[in-house]
Amino acid sequence: MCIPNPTIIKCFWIALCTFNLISCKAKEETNIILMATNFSNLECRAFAMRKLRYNLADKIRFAEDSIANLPPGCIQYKNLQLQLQKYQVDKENSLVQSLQLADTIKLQLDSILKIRLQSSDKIKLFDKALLIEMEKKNCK
Amino acid sequence: MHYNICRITFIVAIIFMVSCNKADVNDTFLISKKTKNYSGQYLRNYYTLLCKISKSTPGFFPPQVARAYGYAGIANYEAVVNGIDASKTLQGQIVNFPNNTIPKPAVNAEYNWAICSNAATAEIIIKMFDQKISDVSLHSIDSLESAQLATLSAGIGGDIINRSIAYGKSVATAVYNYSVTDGGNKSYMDPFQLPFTMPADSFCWVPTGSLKNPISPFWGNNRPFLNQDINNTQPSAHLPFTTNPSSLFYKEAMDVYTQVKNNSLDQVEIVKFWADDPFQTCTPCGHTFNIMIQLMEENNATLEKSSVGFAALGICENDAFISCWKTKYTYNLTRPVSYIQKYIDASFKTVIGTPPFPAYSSGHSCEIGASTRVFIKLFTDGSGSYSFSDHSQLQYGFPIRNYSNFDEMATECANSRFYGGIHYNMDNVTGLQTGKTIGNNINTLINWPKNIE
Repeated sequence: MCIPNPTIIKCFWIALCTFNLISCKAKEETNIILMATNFSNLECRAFAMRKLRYNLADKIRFAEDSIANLPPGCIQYKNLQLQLQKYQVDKENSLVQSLQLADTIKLQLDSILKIRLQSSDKIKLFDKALLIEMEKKNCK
Repeated sequence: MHYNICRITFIVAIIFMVSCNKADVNDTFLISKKTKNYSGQYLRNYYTLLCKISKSTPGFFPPQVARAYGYAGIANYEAVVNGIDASKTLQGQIVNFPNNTIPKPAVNAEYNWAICSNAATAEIIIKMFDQKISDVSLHSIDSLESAQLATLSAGIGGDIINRSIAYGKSVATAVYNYSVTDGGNKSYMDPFQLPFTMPADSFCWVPTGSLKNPISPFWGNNRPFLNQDINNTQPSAHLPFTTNPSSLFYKEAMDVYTQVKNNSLDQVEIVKFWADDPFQTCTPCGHTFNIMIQLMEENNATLEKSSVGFAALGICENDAFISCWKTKYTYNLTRPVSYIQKYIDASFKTVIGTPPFPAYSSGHSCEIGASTRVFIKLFTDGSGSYSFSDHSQLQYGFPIRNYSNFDEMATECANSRFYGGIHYNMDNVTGLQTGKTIGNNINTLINWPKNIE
């Protein structure tokens, strides 16, 4: 029977372990990127909600600025008042939706950062992947 | 003979003192598991909830929120301090909080400090939001308290559980009773503290939005936790107000104007990131506490470190807002937007809305300056270097922001108010400096336990 050279056996095992390590690491990285991709869908919605809130906040403050310079009772004043009432309704709706979304994101993020990733290197990889995904989806 | 009498008296006195000290140490502290042996997660869950409650309770503006966080931190700290090695109660260390304010744990009885903390924190939050707290918030607190109690009670005798709950609640009640005399009690019922008349001088604050009255004009008279945080931190006067285009004051306003007109996209992002969002914010103080939660999680802080951290940060925030508000209503300085629209460009718009109170000095800068001193002490070797990514605003649709140093983070927060057109640069520089002094006071003038985990 042919007995292989012990050095060759050693090399074989080292190569096998290294291959395993690399493939495990690659798989782990793929999982993290997948996690970031899924999370980016939620985050994109949050980004859109944020834009909406800021636009609304601007509309409200600009309308309030204008109304302050108008004589009460004039047509423009009344129109702006009606507009402001509508904005207030939009504000309430946007607030409820944003807070619900914030709760969902917070829960998911806690699960990702505290339970699934834990190590700072993995979290950094997740952050980077999330940024790339957000850019891809034009949510930045 | 005379010498012998003196010697005997001295020895008797020493024995008496030693025996007195011994009487204070009972087996309670030996038979109860140390605070550091419990997870800090139970406490951090309350702080996550506290942010939500602050957002949804009417009348909670930045000073009111800072106060609520302040007393919550103290109540929890006092509920667990007996389980921390070489620790000192805050009694006798903070203003008008003498010894024997807080009930002592029973002698030779076992306590579960995590259950004490759970009970104390739930109780103090309810008390701090009291008359305006919503049913939803109350339900959230009750649910969290019950769920955590169930986990913490596993395998523990009923007597220990009941004793620990009762002790936690009694500590919270004592801290709440202490709070009612500070000048801010139930201020959420009347956050504008009317009647108040802003002087009509040309340098004085005028409304910048729909709110015609400035927030909490008498807040600076509140009792702080450390007198030094107010007496020794009041800044010198701001640059003399003038409309002369060649003056330094005019230049300050012109700098704001030029900055807002030329902001980069990143600077606009920074403004919004630190602005703490229209409609749904737990105020700058809440944002800073969210950062603290994240830092504690990254460091696996036990109940011991979490309790010290939240207490120190709460004291910082409370005192920073009192000090800053005292300055604001000493000078009553008009906001950049009002000055610019009147003397430079009537069509000028800020990046975000300007909050309803005077400009000098900046509340954001003061609170972040103070709180970063606590972060530096808790999480660095003193240098402030710490690689940190703020995830706390992701839930509101903001990207992660990265920092390598807490001072860098504080500077960015302060600058955000300049980029936004909300503050003159002098407001931020002064606010940051005041905050740092307050943070240093809290780190050094209070005897905190060392080597906490």
